Amino acid sequence: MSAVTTLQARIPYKPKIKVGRILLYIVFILVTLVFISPIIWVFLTSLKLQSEYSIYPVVIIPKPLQWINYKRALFDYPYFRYFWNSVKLAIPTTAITVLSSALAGFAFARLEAPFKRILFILVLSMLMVPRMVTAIPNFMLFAKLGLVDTYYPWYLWALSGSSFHIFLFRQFFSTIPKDLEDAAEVDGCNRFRIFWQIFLPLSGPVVATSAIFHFQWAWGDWFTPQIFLSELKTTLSVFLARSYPDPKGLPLETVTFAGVMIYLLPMLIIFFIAQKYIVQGVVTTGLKG
Amino acid sequence: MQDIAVMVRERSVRRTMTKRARREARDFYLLTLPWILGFVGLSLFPLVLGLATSFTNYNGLNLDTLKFVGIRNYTRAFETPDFWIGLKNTLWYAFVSVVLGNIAALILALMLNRELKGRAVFRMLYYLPAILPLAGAVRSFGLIFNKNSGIVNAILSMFVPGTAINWIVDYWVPVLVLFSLWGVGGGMVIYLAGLQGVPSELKEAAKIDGANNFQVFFNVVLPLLTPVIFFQVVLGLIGSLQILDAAILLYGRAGLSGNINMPQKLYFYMVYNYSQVFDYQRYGYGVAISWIFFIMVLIFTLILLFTSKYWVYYEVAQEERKAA
Repeated sequence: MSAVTTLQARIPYKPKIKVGRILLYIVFILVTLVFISPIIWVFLTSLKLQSEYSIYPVVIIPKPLQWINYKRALFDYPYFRYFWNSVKLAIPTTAITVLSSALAGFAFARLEAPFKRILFILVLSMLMVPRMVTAIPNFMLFAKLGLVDTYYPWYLWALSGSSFHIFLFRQFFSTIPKDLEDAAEVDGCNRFRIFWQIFLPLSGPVVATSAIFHFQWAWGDWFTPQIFLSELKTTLSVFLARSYPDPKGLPLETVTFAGVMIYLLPMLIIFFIAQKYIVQGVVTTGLKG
Repeated sequence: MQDIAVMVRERSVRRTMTKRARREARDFYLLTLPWILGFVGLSLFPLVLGLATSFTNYNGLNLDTLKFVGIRNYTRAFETPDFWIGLKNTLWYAFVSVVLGNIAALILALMLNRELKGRAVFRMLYYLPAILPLAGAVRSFGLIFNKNSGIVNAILSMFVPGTAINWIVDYWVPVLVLFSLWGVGGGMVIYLAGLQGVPSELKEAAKIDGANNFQVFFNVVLPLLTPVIFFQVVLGLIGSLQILDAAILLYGRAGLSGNINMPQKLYFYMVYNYSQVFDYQRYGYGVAISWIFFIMVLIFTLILLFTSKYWVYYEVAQEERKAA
């Protein structure tokens, strides 16, 4: 804003601004507390004794802190098996989905071919199909093929990409000037090299956004592992949907919530590292439609 | 203008289809082949298979006694009280969460779309819940509303000692709406992107013409945001109508086998659908009700699409008018 407009706009309001600012910050901080209170509460609960879990008055900050709950969550129960299952499911699924969606998005953005428009409308219309409509027959199909209780269904879905991510990449790749690939083509690059060496490196924020969204889905999804995977192959999200039993079979909530905290951790770490890229990715892809 | 250019190009491609164009088309189909195969094998074929199954009494094992039952699965749905309970809960959940979710996202975006120290930190913290993995997010949110160990009752007890409201059962739909609002940061980021796309000259011009902040918002900013709002409402509605995992995990008694033992009055459409298929192996009936749902979603989307011309502002139309 130029100096002149600043003067015009601000002077009459000057006395109000200070109070307004402080009020605004109070509102911001209150909203922040509301937003992060569930996570803090899970954390505090995970440090309680089970006998402190549901007594009245409610224990806010337990004394002493039961850090041992974390050790018990990890080692007294088969946590690592389910953690590893989640990793085997989520990471390849995310990597493959992002790559195949980027390739398809590149094709839709940069190449001309007969029936392209119809295909793109089909890509978008898949966003409207409720997952139950395809999940039930997919389950019947994979059961026939003997692929239930393996992670191959996820890898196959990933190979075909996802409408949402194809759309993201297509929006982003459409904004890149044509000269860039023309020059590369003159230099004799083939299409795949143009994608790999020019377009993909340019799309860092979009790759980050797309990967984070898909990892979040794969890591947090309960429905698909619940119907496709058995007790031993299932993921952390299914494992932690029930509470750990203590030796008498009663739910051991505090230790369970220590497990939930560890389950949230990878996503929290990724988020704090990459949150700048996500916001940037959302802006640059014109997710706004 | 652009459309004409595209049309001209497409026509010339069709007429000549030079070697180069053919190669381009080949590359296009090579690159989209995985999607096409997946679409045919994992979407289109299952859709047809499902539709066919919905007219039979298939229960997972009875291939040799499979019977064609016509539209009986469909008519049965409308005669089943649980179906209507699920539908009613779902419609009111989806409507309230989409409306409140978009209003809240827009308000937060407006609050954060100004020069302010620490803006990035607040933006990050408000966005954080939206990227939590669903299963963990539901467990965490359920805990604060827990009757005996939740912070909500603990805080209320400071004012009314001994408050022990059973939120999750007694305020089932409102708690789930609040859960969806907890993830409002996703919409907020998209609205922030939208707000940054509003040209500041337009706002300043309106101010010079004597508009106050509210007038600027309602007459300049909001109309320019309507395409974003439209996009958010359509995708938000499709998503929230399908509420399933959050409800099952919030109720929190998915038994060892995963069977749902939730009281019927708490059913959502997809919860009912899930339990019919995966608890009772009623595949034929289950696919039929998922198709009823699909048709419902299509109708809602089409209604939004057809009414969009009355409230969604398209910049393209403006440009065309200018060109003419």
